[in-house]
Amino acid sequence: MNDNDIQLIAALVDGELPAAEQGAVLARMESDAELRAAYDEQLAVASTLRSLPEVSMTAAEQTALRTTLRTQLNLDGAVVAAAAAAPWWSRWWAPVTGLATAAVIVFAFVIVPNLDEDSADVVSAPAEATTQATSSLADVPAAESGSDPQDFLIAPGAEDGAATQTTAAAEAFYEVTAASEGAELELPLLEEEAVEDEGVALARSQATTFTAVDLDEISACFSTALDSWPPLSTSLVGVTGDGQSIIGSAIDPGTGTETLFYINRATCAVTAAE
Amino acid sequence: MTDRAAADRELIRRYLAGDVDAFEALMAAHENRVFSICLRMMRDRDAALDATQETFLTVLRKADRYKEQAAFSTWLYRVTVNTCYDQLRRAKRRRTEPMPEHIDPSDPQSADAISAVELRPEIERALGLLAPEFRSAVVLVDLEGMSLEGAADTLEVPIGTIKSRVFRARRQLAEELGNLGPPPKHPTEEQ
Repeated sequence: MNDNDIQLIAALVDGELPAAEQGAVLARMESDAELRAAYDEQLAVASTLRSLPEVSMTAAEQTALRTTLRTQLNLDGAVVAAAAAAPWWSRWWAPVTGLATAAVIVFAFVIVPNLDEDSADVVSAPAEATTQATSSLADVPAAESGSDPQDFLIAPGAEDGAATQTTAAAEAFYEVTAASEGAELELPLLEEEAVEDEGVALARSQATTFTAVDLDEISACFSTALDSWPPLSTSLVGVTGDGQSIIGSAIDPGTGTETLFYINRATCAVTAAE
Repeated sequence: MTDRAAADRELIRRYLAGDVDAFEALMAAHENRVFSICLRMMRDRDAALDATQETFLTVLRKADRYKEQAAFSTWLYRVTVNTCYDQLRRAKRRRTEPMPEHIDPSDPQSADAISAVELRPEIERALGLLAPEFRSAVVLVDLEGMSLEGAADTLEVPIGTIKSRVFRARRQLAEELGNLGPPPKHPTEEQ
C-alpha cells in the first residue's frame, strides 16, 4: 500500500473522490485484496465514529460558560478598541485586574528539579509543587532544588551540527508555544512534540554551558524586567537557542493560563510573547 | 460564502467596534461545536469545559488578529484545537491523573466517567491512544463531520497530510477496537 493508495482510500471513504476515479478504485479492489481490506477497515471505523451521538453542554454548563465570558467581556469591552496599541502583557493582564483582590500574589522563580526520563517539561514545573518564593535565582540553592539550576537552561553555542540544529529547534518550539495561545501555530504538532522532547535532551546534554556569572546576569535581568509588572506568578524557563533572550512563564492567577514571554538580555526589557 | 460565515464576519466586526453582545452571539452559534471538539480531544468533561472557556477567552482577546481571508469558524476551530494541544501538553507535563482505561459500568464513579466522555468507552480509550495530531484529524473528519479540505484548513496542513493522518488514525483505531463488523457498502457498489 503506497501513499497514493492511502490518499485514494481516504478520499473514497470521505466521498471526495470524483465519480470516474471511484469506479476505477472499486474495480481495482476486485483483484487487490490488500486494497480492499484497507478500504473496508477505513469504512468500518469511519462508520462507527460517525454513528456516535453528538455531544453538547448541559444548560448549567452553558450558563456557567456564558457568565464567565460575560464577565470577561465586560472587563475587556472597554479596552477592545485600544487593544492593538497596548503592550501584549497589559492586554493580557487587563481582564484580571478587576479580580485582583481575589488573586494570590506570588512572585517566584521556579527551578525544575530532576528532569527525568518521562518528563517533557523543560518549560516549567507546576508552581504549587516546586515554587520557592524568592526574588533571585541565585537565592535558590542547587542542593535544595535537587539539581543544578543550569540543568534546565537551554544552552546556546552547541558545537556540533546536530546539537546546533536541536538548539534552533528548541528555540522554535518556544516560539511556537508562545504563539499557540492564538491561532498562529506555524509548525505541525508532530514536529513541535518532537522538538519538545529534543529540548529536554538538549537541556540535559548542555547543562554546563552557562557559567555562574551567566546565571547571575540572567537572574538580575529577569528581576529587572519584571519590576514594573503587575504581580504575577512568574518562572524562569530558559534561554533561547541564540542566547539573546530569556524565556519566562507567567501564570494568570485568575484563570491559571500560562503565557511565555521573552526578555532581551541586552536591555532586560520584556519583548513580545507572540 | 455561507450565511453563517457572513453572519460571523459581521458579528466579529461589531465586536471589534465595541459591541460585546456580538461576541455572545458568536459564542451561542459555535459553543456546542467547540465543546464537542474539546471533549473528543481531551476525553474528560471538566477538561473539555476548561478548554472551551479558554478557547473563547483567547478568541475574545485576540479577535483583532482574525483575518477575513478564512471563515471565522475555521479560525475558531483552529484556536480550539491549539488550545486542546496546549492543555494536553500541560497535563502531560504536570502528570495529572489519566482517564481510566478500563471502565466498570457497575461502578458509580465509572458510570460518571462514561457520561463524562459520552463516547463508547472502548472508543474513547482507543481515541486516547492516538497521537494528538492524529486524534484531531479523525475528530474533525469523522466525529465533527468536517470535509477533508475543511480539516486541512483548520489544522493548517496540506490536504494530503490530513488524508494520511485520518487513514493512519483509523487504522490504529481498527487495531485497538478489533472487529467492528462488516463495513457498509459503498454507494457505488449498492447499485
